Amino acid sequence: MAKKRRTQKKRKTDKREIKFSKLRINLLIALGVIGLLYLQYKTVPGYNYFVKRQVIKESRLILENFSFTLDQKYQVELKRDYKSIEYVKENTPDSAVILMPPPDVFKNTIFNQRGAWGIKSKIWSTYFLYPRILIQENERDMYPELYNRITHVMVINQWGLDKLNYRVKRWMYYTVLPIRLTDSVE
Amino acid sequence: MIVIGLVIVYLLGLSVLIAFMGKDDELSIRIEELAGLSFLIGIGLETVFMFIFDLIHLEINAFTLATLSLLIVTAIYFYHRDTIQGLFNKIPGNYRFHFKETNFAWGILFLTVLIALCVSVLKSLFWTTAAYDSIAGYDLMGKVIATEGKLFVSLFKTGSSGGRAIYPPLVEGSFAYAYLYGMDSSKIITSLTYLSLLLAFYGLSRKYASSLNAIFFTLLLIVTPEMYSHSSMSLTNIPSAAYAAIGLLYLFIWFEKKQRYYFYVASLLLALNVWTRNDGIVFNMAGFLLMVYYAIKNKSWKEIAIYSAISLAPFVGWTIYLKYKIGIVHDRFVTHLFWDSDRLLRELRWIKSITFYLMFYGLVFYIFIFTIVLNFRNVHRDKFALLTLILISFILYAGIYYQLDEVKQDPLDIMMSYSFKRGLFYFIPLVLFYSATCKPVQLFFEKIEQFRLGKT
Repeated sequence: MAKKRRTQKKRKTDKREIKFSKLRINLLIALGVIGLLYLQYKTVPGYNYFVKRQVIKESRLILENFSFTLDQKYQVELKRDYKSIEYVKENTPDSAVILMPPPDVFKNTIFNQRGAWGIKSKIWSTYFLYPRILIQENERDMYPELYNRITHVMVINQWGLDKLNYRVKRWMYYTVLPIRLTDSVE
Repeated sequence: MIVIGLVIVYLLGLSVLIAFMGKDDELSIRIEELAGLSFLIGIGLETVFMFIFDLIHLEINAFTLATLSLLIVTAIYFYHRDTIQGLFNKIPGNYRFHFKETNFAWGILFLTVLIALCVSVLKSLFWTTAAYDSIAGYDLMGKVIATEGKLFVSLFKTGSSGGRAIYPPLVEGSFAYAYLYGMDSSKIITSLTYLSLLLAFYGLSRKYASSLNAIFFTLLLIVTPEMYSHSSMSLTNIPSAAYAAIGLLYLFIWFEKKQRYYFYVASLLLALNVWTRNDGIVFNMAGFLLMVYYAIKNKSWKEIAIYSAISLAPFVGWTIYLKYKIGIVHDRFVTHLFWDSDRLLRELRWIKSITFYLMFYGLVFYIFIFTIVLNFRNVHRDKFALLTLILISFILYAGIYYQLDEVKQDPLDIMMSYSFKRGLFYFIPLVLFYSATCKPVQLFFEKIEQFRLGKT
């Protein structure tokens, strides 16, 4: 009887040892995986960039600016071009047809010069101004019917003032004005 | 409101998958796979409905889309009640928790994937749409489609649509879907697409590989720097990679297992692939070549006919729509074959430098080459069909850039450094799947698993 009990006890201890060693092996493999991940992070520039820039820096940036409004987020990402386009939006009705300068006029201005994005792009501007319709000066022959429906002019660095049927005395770098003065505008 | 919209999308996708399952009891489907595919198929079909509504002049809005979707869901439910009841048996679900047997390594890798995914979703939902291609294309179209209730929107008549507006409507339609359900931003669609890609990839890998193996390669997929940076942008590259890669993987699984479910899912995913971007046609063509091989080998032409009808219909449909409704013809390519060794060498140099640049794709392509070398003796026996699909697609995809007309398109150098670089997203899940499931890697992870369970 005592022998049987001893054997049972031994079996139990063995079982516990196996389980314990299983746990140790499991932890060992986990440590190996951590080591592998660390090695990749240290030796592969792309993964280093992923951790430092794409995960840590980006999440910190978001957490620091978590209270940002939609408007502020746009301003951070799209800078002055967004502020200007918002100005156009606030000063024109939804039904406006806006004449905008050809892309050359935006060269060497305060607006974005790099890449295709920015107020210089008609389609980019349409994203923020829709349902207002934009037409560029160089599209006059392409869309004559639309050109005749122009209600507002986007003035950049004095460009566009000659399209108005009234005179503006003040020097203007950037604004949007109705193409003709009505009683209400006056 | 968007929660209702997303539930409908998931239900629609799941119903279609159930319809494809039929009464096949041999099928073994994982829950991750179902979750990933339900969204990809559901949202893709919603955009197909938008296209149909546009053709029949029915307004695209939340109500019309929901009505049609729920009608289909109900019909499938009544026809496939038995399948739905048996579905839970098909999902292997042995989820007992034992601390000592818990795979800690898997847990660590899963946690890393989860953190990376959370940051991606956070980035996506926090920041506004800022990418030029999206503002002057997909998101703009999404907003306007949602406002005007049709695909042929007023922007086309005022010259405000731009080149991206003529892309097939899956991405812009899915963005419109978010706006139709009252969202201020369409970014939730981007995040769910990315999540679905990861889920489907993990689920598919698990069919062949151990859990540690599958999660390790899923981690490699998510930490690919260039792809990760796009995971929070409203562009077409991640969705097209999801449809093309998962579609091609399903076609490969069908080729191995010959179960009709995989065949129909593959055909549908590849159809939605060309419903996302036209250049995805190369993957459908690679799939077509596999179908030709299958047809000749088995003297059965039925599959190739069905595959062609399903997977090519959106491409043909959209081309006709562009030509006759919008009035635009795609002509960005040199339509005859030509030989220009300088151009070819230049392109090959670009391919080499982009593909193996560690900052863009980390170790992905190195691991792929390494596993091919490791598997060299068995390469013709072990997933050779998949390897062939990858290589044919890659050659065809590179061929597109060779054939681009430099007069109508940007110069080759610009196209390679921007467009081709993102185009490689298509291949990342494919090459990682191949690496994860090839014999030597499988064996390596099995050894670890046996060691972990104390079986060696």
